[in-house]
Amino acid sequence: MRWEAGVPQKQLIIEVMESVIKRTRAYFKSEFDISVTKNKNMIGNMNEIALLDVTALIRIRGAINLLVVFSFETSLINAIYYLMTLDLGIEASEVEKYRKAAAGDVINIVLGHSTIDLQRLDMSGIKITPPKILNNTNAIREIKYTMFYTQHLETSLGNMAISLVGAEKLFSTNFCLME
Amino acid sequence: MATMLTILVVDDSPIIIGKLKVLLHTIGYKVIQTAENGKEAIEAYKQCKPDVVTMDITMPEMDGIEATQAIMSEFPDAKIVMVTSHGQEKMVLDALKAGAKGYVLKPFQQQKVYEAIQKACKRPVELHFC
Repeated sequence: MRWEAGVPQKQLIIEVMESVIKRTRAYFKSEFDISVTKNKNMIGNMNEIALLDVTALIRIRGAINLLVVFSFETSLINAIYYLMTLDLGIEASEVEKYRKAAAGDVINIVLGHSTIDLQRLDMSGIKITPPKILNNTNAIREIKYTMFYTQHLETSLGNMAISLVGAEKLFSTNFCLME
Repeated sequence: MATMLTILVVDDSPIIIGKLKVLLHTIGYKVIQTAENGKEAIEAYKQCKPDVVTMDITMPEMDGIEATQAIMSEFPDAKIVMVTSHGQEKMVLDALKAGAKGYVLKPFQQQKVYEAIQKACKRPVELHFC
């Protein structure tokens, strides 16, 4: 592990979440003119994680070893899909493929931008995997990681949840959720 | 009138491929082929020998940095512009070290893509799209 000196693992989780939320807000505002506000947050074991209608995930590898999960309500991902593909002329048979791609593009762009904020935590370079869309929401419970930290977000077009999923050691018993 | 540049677009997202096709066509370039990962990109490059490649970084099978290295080692005159969401400095340096001639951050703007491609080809940049 290459943790930067002075950055406790608990603080790292909070720093990653703050960056991801900041970048999500900025991206939604600049690209779609959608304002995002924070709602409740929660921490728990993997068997308690609640996913919404369309879920995309990316794994961050290296010093920061986490699974990042973006879960969207149908109304929100439909709106994003519509705005992203306005000029593409998508055929009816391909709508579902492009709707999933929209979810993948959102998480990919947000995390790509977050690497700017987080790069000092891993000087060897933060590696992220290509986005994966969950077809079966139960599949996430089979992932070897054990705990999650979720921040629920609201927009006028629907809600979404951002979760960081990782090993239990990242989530100390004194874990303090920040508002 | 300048010759129309031919472009190979490499990205694992069909939306990004679609948006780049529309944008590049609007600028006046011709997208002659697309690829969804690094391995496909290498094959497509050999097949169509485009003037320019737009290359994503994070892709399945083989990432864009590896694909850039592979293309550059076989075709040292290749002109590859990274179009990616990765903003960290390490990634930009890795891409340039691999031989990329430009770097554009997603979500991309038409002017930035145009400028990066024109500079990669050492062609004049005009301010058409501001």
